[in-house]
Amino acid sequence: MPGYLSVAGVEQALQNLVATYPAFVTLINLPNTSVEGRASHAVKIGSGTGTKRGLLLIAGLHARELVNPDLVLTLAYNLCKAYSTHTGLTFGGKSYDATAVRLIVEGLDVFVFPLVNPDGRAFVQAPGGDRWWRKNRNPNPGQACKGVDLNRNFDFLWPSGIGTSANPCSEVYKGAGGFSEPEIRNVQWLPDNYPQIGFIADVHSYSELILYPWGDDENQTTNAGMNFMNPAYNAVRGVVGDTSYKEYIPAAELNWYATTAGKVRDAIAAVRGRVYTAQQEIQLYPTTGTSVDYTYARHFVDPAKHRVYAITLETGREFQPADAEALQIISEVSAGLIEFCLASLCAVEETMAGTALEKEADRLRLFRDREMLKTKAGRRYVQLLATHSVELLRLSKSEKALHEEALAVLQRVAPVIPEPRQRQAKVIDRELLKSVASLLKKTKDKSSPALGLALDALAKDLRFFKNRTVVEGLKAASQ
Amino acid sequence: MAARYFVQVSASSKESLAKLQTYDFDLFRHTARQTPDKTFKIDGLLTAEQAERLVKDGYTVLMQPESSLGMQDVGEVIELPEWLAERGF
Repeated sequence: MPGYLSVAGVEQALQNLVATYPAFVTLINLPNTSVEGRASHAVKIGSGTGTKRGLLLIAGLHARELVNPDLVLTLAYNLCKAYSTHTGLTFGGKSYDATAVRLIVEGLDVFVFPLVNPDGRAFVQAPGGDRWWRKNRNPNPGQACKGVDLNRNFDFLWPSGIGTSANPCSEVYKGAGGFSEPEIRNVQWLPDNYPQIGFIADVHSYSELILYPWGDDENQTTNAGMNFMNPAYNAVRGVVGDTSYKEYIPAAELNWYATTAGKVRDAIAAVRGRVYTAQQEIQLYPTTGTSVDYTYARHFVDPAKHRVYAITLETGREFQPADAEALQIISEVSAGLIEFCLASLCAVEETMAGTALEKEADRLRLFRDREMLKTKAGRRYVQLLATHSVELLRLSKSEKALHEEALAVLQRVAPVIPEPRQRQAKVIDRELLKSVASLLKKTKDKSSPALGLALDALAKDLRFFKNRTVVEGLKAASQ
Repeated sequence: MAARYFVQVSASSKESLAKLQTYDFDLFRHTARQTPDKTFKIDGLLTAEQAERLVKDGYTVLMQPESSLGMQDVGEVIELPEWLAERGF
């Protein structure tokens, strides 16, 4: 008889996944039990050693959205099975080959936390429960109604009350305080304890949407001082369509979101033709206290934290689709999430993984964020890497000599990348430029036309770096 | 618990759509949209009393009985072995 997994079933599925694929799946005990005392677990899927980028899939924050925990678990099983059998994945009209699967499992740590709100799901599925229950089961002592909306309880503009309610009987009750609920402290704990997590997808239902920050107000890319941390705007934040406040997002990051959300949409559409809409979270209603805004905001609040790109998916056209439709939704959204995984890969980090250069990754990342993204040319180079990383990684996996040459070039480039606030950076010499040019040419010879064009443009820019520091070269190439 | 109905609420303007937030009703934020006829619509789950209140305040509310959506009995959960077999694992 078709149906959805119970809370116990979700837990068993996680344990079974770890037992079936112990070589590359690890069980994670989350620190907080739910309000009603249920334990929660996640898994980490990732093969190989060394520091890798992390990607976290979460689902089941809202109890009545039953399909999504089953969805992310199905994806986890598919990914593990394909990796262990050296096969690809096919979802309706969309296929990924075995190399794509390998790139994900070997290039990323994929964390899956399928059921954030076990108490709510148990209540939805219990005889005498409420099949449309949304919140957790916090008794809210002294109040008339139970439950907190877990996706309004994250500490992002929590005090503002924008798009939330202080009424415990509301479906969007924000709780007694930011992070008051143990279930979402488990979500917070994951990027806190696995700082490699740089990508999060929070899977909800419904509406066939792919959403990216911000949710509290419309986006703007020009005034960095107009942001959620600036109390001067507290009274004007959260009004759709006005001009007094819009939330700041760096242009390069907005571009990454729009490009990636488009890739996810296209992958979903290829499965059976359902065209999801990719757009900013806010739509027609502002909101605060959400997982996506909180996780993306972390590096603005504390620059020592890594940036986390976070998206929400609103799957399907109803909360509890019947079995046949549920399987279709699982299939199409799985394709979208595989695409999200691929978009999270970085050819540079992957090349350095497991080598002595690995310890330089944080410094290079900092340089990218603080210096490269400030210049037009730097943004172009970052975009090139984001667009073509999967192809570059494929080449690197299939062409050992190319991989070794890329690593050798990175070893020579790393010393000329200045430390933060370093005054006297090293100048780029002719030999280094020659080695970069050689690598670009050899890569181009084996690449697609699109990557070839991008590499040609990059090769032409090399002249701007001759006898200059990297920062000077970026400025010269931007003029 | 009072019976609830899946509804589609229509508002004549963006402002009146935004005002729906003040009711603290179970309206599904992500379904808010503008339709080609320039009205604004949002789906939700309301009691008859809540729907009547919205109608009284100028909104149009299209109600559907819960059973009309053809959803499976969610009390029917699938056991893990069957779940795995259904997916070919």
